Amino acid sequence: MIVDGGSPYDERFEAIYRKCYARVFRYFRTNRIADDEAHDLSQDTFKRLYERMDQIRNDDPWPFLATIAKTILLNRVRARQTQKRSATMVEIDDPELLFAEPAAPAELDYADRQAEEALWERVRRAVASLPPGQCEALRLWIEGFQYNEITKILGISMDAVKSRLRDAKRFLREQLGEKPS
Amino acid sequence: MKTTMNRSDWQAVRDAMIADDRASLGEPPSVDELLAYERGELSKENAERVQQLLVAYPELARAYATPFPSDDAKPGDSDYLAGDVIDRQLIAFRAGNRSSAANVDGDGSNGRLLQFWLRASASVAAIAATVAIVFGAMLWRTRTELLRPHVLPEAAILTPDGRRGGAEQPQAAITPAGDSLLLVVSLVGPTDYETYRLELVSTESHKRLWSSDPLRATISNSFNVEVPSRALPAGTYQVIAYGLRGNAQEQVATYTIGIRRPPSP
Repeated sequence: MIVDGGSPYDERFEAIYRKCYARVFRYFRTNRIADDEAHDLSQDTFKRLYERMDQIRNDDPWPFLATIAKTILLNRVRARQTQKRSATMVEIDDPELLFAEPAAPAELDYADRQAEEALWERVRRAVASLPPGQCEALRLWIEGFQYNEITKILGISMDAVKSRLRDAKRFLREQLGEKPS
Repeated sequence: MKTTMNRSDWQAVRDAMIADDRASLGEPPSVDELLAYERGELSKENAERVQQLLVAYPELARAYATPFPSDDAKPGDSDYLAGDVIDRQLIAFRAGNRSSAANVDGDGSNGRLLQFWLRASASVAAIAATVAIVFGAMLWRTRTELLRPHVLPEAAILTPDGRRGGAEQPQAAITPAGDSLLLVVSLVGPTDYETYRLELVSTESHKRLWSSDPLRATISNSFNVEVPSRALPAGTYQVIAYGLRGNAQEQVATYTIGIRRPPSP
């Protein structure tokens, strides 16, 4: 907390704030966070920085600030994931659900549904039978991650990412007779 | 037989694989684990587990992999911040941290902040002084009023529901004549509880309007409750009497009343 009467770091802190606030804010916005929340998270970042000003040893505070911002972002995303996993369970025959539930989409006929599920199962098996490294790279690629992001997530080189994806796609083509698109 | 995969097919397969992974792998990795993974400090086994979890939690993987912007946004970009926005955020930051005197010795931008906080402090002090005077006067007046005798309004004696020939039938409607209404809640039946508690509930909104502290039983087996008339708009209400014994409470009686407003002159 900022202490009444000032702190020896106040001037330096303000300079860092003015210099880096926009970039911290941009980082949160890049992660698809709305303006208001991005400001809140940016303020949290600087609050933590202020509380740790005495730990900044070198002239460039950015690496320290970036780690704080990343920690805050990861905590936020992780908390949301955990909330989803522990979402409130409701009774399946809860009468209120009868009114809240949207209308069911038009159903495929039984044969089409069977064919669709059979295809999904074949693809799942094919993907699951890939070597772990190829499977992970392929699944991240299906999620829409760029090659450079996959290198970061899997901790491997760009060449390794390309090679794993090439091999995985070839394997799937052989198994399924088509190219994943 | 269906052989081609469209986007929704891939989505279905992806959702199923993620659900399977999460069921078998469990919670997402902690932030400390992720940062240690990024620094290459985890064992091979733990690093592999974190990789699997990142694949199972793609939103987390996206946050983990998104690089920091290498420069600030330019005017016209959707995430561009003008200088005055940053000024306001800094002021809000300092306000949030209650640092009104932190920049007394500064100059330049610090000086501007100092001026802001000095003006803000003076305004707050003036408002506080005014509020104190007004509340002081109100308190003095209230105290004086309390020391003067006053006549209670005519009492409405309430009989428990079910003792008037119809359980849900409100007793004769009450029309408050003055500023308050005196309800006499008579207990009928077992009166051997240690204490009682009364509640006033709107039967229309089912909202509890008031609840008493525990009350000792009286010799007359009744409680007198004075209710400000303004607290009871026209409608139907219920006084509920509970008997308390230790931590247990039991509903003893209910008293349904109808409140009517006098016709406008």
